[in-house]
Amino acid sequence: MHNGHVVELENVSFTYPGGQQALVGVNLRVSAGEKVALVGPNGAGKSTLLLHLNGILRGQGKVRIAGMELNERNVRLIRGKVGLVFQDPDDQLFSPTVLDDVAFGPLHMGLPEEEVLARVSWALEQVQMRGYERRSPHHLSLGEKKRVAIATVLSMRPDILALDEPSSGLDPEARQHLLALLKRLPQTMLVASHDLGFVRELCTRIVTLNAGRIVDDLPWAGSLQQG
Amino acid sequence: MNLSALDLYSGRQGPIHGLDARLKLVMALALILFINLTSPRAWPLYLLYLFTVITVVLVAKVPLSKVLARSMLALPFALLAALGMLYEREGAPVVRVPLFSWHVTFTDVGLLRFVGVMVKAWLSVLVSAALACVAPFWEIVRAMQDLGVPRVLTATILLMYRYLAVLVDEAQRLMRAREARSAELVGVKARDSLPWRVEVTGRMIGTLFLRTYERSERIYQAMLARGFSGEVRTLGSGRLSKRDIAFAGLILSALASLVIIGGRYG
Repeated sequence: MHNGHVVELENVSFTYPGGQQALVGVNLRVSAGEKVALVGPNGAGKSTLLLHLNGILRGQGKVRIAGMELNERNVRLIRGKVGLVFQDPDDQLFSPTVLDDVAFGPLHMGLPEEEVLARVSWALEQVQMRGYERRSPHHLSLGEKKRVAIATVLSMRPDILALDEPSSGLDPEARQHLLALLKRLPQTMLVASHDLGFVRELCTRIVTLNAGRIVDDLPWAGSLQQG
Repeated sequence: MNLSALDLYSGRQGPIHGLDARLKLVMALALILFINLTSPRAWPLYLLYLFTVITVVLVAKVPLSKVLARSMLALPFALLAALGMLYEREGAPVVRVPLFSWHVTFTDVGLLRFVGVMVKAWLSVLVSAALACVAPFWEIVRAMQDLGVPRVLTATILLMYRYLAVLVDEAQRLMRAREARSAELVGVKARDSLPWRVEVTGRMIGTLFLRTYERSERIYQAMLARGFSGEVRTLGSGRLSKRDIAFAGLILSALASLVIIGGRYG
């Protein structure tokens, strides 16, 4: 059993092919419903850590998601549980239309078409982007792209959301919209960000990384006060 | 550059735009086939083909001048292919043109074939240009997939289409950054020789390649993260409506009557 921890990293280390060590013996446990911020300077290993959560990158050590140890057999199952939202929505949104992109995940899970379409509507509703189905991602604003990028993983109904720099490049209003959206979503979240104001309002715990190591891990009550 | 010019008219609403893309693609291909199977001797048929295309464009409320302008793009290539026809020896000589120390004789058969190839090429491109104005690019590619073109191919084309604009933006940012730092000092001759510019441009192309490569890695990761396993899956395109079938009937009967008329010309 997983003792209520939906994410468990045990002594995870990772070195990029170029020899750059990005993670060094990282231990992290996250309980269901927690919203955890990952902060730290550029190159601290935040994005690398997120990529470990659904097996895009695999280093040494153990990664357990919802009690399942990530391995070759269950990696695709785990990808359905962890919704990874990339920093640049132009990387995330690769389909010709918003509809195709939000449908991509559910289609690859093998769901029947009616179910896929229902999930697409639901996910776009969540991010308030209904009516954009036939639009091309290239013609959306950055704020709209970020919201659609979140919808592309919400349609897979994940338990955990891993978001890389969700607020970067957004204007204050778009940032506020995104914050309200993420606060509303019930999923467990890991949010890598430089935007301390953003994570202070959203998160219940702040984990600081530096040079691939966790150097600080503190509960944060600020978000509860402002609730 | 704004690549939306590619799909400038195709996203509109209207009687032709609302039709199924598969149908529009098949009709366009049928029309191109008929155009190319028509003998140059049956030239009045070409006028009827032209009339058909213009009617469709006008009904779709797309500016005809834009479609005509786009159709001119392929003419230089057609000209290259058609030039050979001019040297046909068959038939009666019509004109003698002095060329340096020689004289080239054009025959009636040669001229007719030359004009035939040019007209066929132009009409075919016109049909394609009209198609591109009444259906979004991605719908045409999706229609190709539904009609049996392998998914790997259509998925590659769609990814290319999606990222063409991103690539152009990236190149433009690089060029803008170069412009912004291409400064001059008073009284000092700026470095602006051709080899220098070639070197800088070469490095920019290298940078662009690296950025594109890295982006493709990230896109692939994003696909993996959502369960991609190498097999391309897409939503179905639904069934043809009554209106679609009526449109197909109309175009097909128009083509059939053209064939019957054409039969009289042999």
